[in-house]
Amino acid sequence: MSLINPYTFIFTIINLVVLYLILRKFLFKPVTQFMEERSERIRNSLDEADRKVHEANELKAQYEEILKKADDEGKAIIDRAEKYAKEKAEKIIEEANIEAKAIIERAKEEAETEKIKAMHDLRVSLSHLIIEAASKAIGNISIDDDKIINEVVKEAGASWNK
Amino acid sequence: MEIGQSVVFTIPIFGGIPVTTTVVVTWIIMAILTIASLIVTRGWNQVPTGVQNFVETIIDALNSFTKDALGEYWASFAPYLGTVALYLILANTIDLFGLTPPTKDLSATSALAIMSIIVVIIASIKAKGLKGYAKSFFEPMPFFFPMKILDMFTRPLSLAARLFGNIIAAFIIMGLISKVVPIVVPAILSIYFDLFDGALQMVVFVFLTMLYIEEAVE
Repeated sequence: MSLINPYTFIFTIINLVVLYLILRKFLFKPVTQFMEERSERIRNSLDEADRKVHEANELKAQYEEILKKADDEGKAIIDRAEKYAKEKAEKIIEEANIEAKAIIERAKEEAETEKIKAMHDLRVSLSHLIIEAASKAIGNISIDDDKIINEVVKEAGASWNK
Repeated sequence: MEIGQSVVFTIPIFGGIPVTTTVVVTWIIMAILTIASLIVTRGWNQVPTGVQNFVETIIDALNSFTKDALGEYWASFAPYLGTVALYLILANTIDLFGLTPPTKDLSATSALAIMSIIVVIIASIKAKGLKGYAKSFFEPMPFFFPMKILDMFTRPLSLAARLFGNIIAAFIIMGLISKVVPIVVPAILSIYFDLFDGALQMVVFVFLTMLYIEEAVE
């Protein structure tokens, strides 16, 4: 009995090579590939998640800026509106004041006119009264001449007005 | 009890090729591994459960192990080392199922050892080219040439003899113990001689082969 059987030796080598090819095809390659693909997918997912977070942060910053801008703009608008309203109010008040002054002025003028008119009427009436009284006192002289009355009134009025 | 391998049948060509139990058991192991790998890789999910977990763990361990040692060349040699590991763990422990371990046959272990050395040479040529491989015999200095040549023989010899010696010793001891105390004691001792020693020899063989490959691709 020899220690090494050459046929068994060759058979074993062939068997080993065949087993290697079989296991590589059905076990090692598919499993390794599967795990690598999964690792790749997980890595991609993580990268994607990172990217999304980054994007979200960027968007957040952007929105915050927009909000801030909007806030500022709103404030500016309010300020402008306030200023405008104030100006408008002041203007209205001023106009009102001017108008009021004008009204008062006009009223004063009117009153003056009325006064003058009243004075005039009063003078006329008074003149009539005086002439009547005077004619009564003198005797029944009727002075119906309007010309004279008017003259008297004018004279009287002139001295009145002085 | 028989130390040599009995011939199971003879292929009637070339004046009769004897097929020993070693070869037949190897075929059985091959069948088991092929069917098992077809079964365990069926219906895999992205989220591993059960058997898939187990298989992934083992193959991942093998891959990272070879990756650590061989660097960029790991992908070419991990399947071979894994094949040898799976074959040896079954071959060394198949005595538990009443079959003759193929690794108690020096023909088989020497075939394994020669294969290992061939793989080492392939790795060396792959990494350094034919010229670089030839040069590696004279490195770090020409004085080492005889030792390098000696290495070519001592390495497979030690690989083959170590595996063969361990397994046949365990086989013989287990056979003797079974003769002396047929019950209970063989069961306990076979945990050491068959399972532990079988697994250990597998690890030693694969680890040494990987070490040689690592040295070759450096």
